[in-house]
Amino acid sequence: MQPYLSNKRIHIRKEPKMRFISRLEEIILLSIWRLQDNAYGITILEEVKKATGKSWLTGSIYASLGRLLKNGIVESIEGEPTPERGGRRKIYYRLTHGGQQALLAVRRLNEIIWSSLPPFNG
Amino acid sequence: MPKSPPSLLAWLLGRMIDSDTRYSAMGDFEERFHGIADEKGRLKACLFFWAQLILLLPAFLKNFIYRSIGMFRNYIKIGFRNITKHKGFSFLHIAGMAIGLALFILIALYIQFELSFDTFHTNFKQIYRVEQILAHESGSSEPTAGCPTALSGALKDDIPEFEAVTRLINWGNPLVTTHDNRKFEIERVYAVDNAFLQIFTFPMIQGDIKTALKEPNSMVLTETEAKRVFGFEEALGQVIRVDNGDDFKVTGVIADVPKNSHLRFDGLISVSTMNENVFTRWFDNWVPLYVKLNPEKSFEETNEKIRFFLKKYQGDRSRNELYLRPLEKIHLYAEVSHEFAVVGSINSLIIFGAVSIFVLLIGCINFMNLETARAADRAREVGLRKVVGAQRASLVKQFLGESFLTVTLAMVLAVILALVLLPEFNQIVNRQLSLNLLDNWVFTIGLVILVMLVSILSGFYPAFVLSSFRPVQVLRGKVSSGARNTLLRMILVVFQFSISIGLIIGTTIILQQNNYLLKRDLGYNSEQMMVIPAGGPSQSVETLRIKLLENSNIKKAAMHDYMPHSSTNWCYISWEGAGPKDYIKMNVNYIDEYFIPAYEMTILEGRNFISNMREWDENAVILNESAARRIGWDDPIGKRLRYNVDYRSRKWGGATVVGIIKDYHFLSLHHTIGPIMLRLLPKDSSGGRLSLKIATLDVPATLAFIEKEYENIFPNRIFEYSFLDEDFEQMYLEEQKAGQVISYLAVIAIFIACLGLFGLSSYTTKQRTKEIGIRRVFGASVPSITLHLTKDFVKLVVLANLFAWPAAYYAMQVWLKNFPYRVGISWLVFVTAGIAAMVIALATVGFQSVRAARINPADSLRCE
Repeated sequence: MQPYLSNKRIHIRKEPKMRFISRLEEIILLSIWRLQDNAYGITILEEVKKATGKSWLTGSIYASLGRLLKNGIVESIEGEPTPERGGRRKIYYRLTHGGQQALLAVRRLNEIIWSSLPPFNG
Repeated sequence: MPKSPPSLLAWLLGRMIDSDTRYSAMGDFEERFHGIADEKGRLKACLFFWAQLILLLPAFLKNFIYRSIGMFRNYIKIGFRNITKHKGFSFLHIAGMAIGLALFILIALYIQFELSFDTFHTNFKQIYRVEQILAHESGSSEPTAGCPTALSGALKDDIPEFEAVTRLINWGNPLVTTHDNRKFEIERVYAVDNAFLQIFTFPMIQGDIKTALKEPNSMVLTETEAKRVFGFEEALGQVIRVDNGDDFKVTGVIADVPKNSHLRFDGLISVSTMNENVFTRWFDNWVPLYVKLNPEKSFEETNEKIRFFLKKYQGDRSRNELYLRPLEKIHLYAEVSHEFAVVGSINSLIIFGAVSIFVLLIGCINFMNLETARAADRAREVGLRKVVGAQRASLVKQFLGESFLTVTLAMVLAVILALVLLPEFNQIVNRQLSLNLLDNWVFTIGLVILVMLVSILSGFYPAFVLSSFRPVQVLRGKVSSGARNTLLRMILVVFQFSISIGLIIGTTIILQQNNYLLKRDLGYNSEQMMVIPAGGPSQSVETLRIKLLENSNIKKAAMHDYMPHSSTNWCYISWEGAGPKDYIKMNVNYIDEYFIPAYEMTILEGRNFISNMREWDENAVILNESAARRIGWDDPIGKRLRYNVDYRSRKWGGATVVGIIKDYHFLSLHHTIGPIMLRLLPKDSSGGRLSLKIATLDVPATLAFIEKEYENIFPNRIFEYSFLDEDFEQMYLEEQKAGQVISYLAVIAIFIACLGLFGLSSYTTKQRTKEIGIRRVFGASVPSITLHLTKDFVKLVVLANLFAWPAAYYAMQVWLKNFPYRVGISWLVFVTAGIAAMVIALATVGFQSVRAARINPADSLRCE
């Protein structure tokens, strides 16, 4: 028997795949978390720069951001248009629930693999 | 002041960022741009933009290629399925395209080869030939490659811009004898300066390039020639005796002359061998000169500097001008007298190129036509693709991908076809071309670009049409094949047939003209005439002549200097009653008293020469009609004239006109008949050639007889002969070649156009099957249906004629202008071409129509 399909729109929520995120993605996610309500392209870039001590291309940050967006790890919120952005709106980024889970997962992983290690010599 | 980033730069940068985040990223870029612009100025901000762009490029390209390969694979797969699904159509596409491409490849190879002439010399950009515009007293002038004999020395002394100068003097085909008494004829030998081998790049295999041609009596041979003469012996240092009795020392062996060299020779001798006195005259113009320009000096300035150089030595009255012709412009562009190289013609290259592009276009049009005709079939596919979300751009890409696949397949076939046809083609164009895609990488890249161009050209319109279908209409079954598409198809068919008909007309006229060149009455009878070289003491040649005439198969024999069809020797003449400045340039040939009767030339007035013991017409001349007319004599017999080559020295020989001969063509038919003066050979000279008229009976025996007698009298020479008919063919080789190539191209163009027409008509009749069924049911006969179906195509061909005729007429007018003697353009050619095209088209379409009309209506009307 065919299952009955209702007319109600089914909201499909993309569940983040349980996967390990890359190091750069981890840094970006942490920067977004730190910046909270002020996380948009430029500020994220600066945070990443501060953390890593080297300068990054806007393009490569966005390549990672695009991937994170697609996988539902971050989500975007439109801000107000500003003249210095050529009339464009600021796009703020925020961690989703899945994003937080992913960060926590990385952190857990780090704690596990860093624990109970013999000390470094010298 | 508005401080927005440069829009093009911003756009480019935007392209590099994924569309998901582009909006946001562009905002960031602009914000940072403003930040930097406020702080450090606009320039720094722009630099920042550039830097972002350049740094992003590698990653972007990597992504792009990765993604397009993925998509590409998909298009190829679908394209391949479509090709195999419609085997018949695909065959028509691919075959037509492959033939067109194969021809294009062959012609392109030929053109590439012709353009490569003389570019193999390392310094070919610096090498020039010194040419001269010879101003005649009559006011006319002619360009010539022959320079005054004394010029080379003067150029060396006076023009420091030239690093090196060499003379190039035809030394003919000497007979050499080796130390062990074997004899060889070396076919083409030039006397050149020592600098020759330094100016040109003919790599030396043995010997010293710096001194090989310095000493008198030095000889350099090409590798093949050295092997032929000396076999396995070392050639260097050998001493050989040349026919005049002098000993020459072989001082070098060079690599064989490349095929794309306008200089062709088997041996070189040092010009210092020749008598220096020859090279002291300023009014004797026959020495070709090549120079190497100092790379730091400008060509234009040097050219200007030498322009009036001759005034210094010939006196201020001289109006002769010198100019430099770049080496690579000799083969295709030089049309000068004293040309010793067999030169090509840029005109036939242009014609070949244009026609092969036309043939290729016809192939492309086939593809376009068949694809747009099939549009209805594929409409559903397009509709469905659109419904499931295909974008127009990706559909266009898919269809272009299909055409790319077709063209690639066609190209592979074309290369194979070209390889198969190459030997035949080489024969026609008289070249040794080779198609080696690995070595000739320029050509290979060209082919790849060609594949892309052709696929875009032939696939663009179908892609555009197919992707424009609206899914709703298509899926509802409302397929409009579209009046616009039908019109376009008609235009394309008309275009194809216009080209085909134009080519038929052009080919016919070219072949007619070629035939005319060979068949025109030249004013003398050259049938069964053969010429053997017979230089040397006149007594022995006379003995040979008499001996030969004893054979009844040898009808006539006559001695002469130049050939009757190429009497290029000339001098200046003045005449009784002429003003001090009246000179005319006149060709001159030396003949004996048997020459005019042997060639059956007509003496209009006066008499032939007399030469016997008592009387020798030493100071008599026979003029042709043109000469008498040019001078302006009404009654020329008995009038006196004076002739000399060197008009400055004023040493004139006198002569009396004894006869007037009917105008005959003493040069090829590319020239109008000018004045010529015939003189009797001096007593002690044989002129160098013996013409023999032989009977058609038993030619081999006659030839054997001549050879035997020849060798009796000239034991040290090699017997050679040529028939005048063959010489004529040689003279018009370029035209013959062009005629042959064009006629093949025309046949193939029509064939490809018919392939297209065949496909198109089979498609349209298939679409009209139901219509035909209904017509049959209502009583239409098979012939009337056939007529109905072919009518449309007939109209198109008639229309094509209307376009083709004027275009072909104009083009052939222009082409025929090259010939002073030419055929008239007859309307018959046009009508015949039109009818021929019509018949071919009817045969193609009619076949389909009859077949369609004969289908039983019960079958065609039955619904599934």
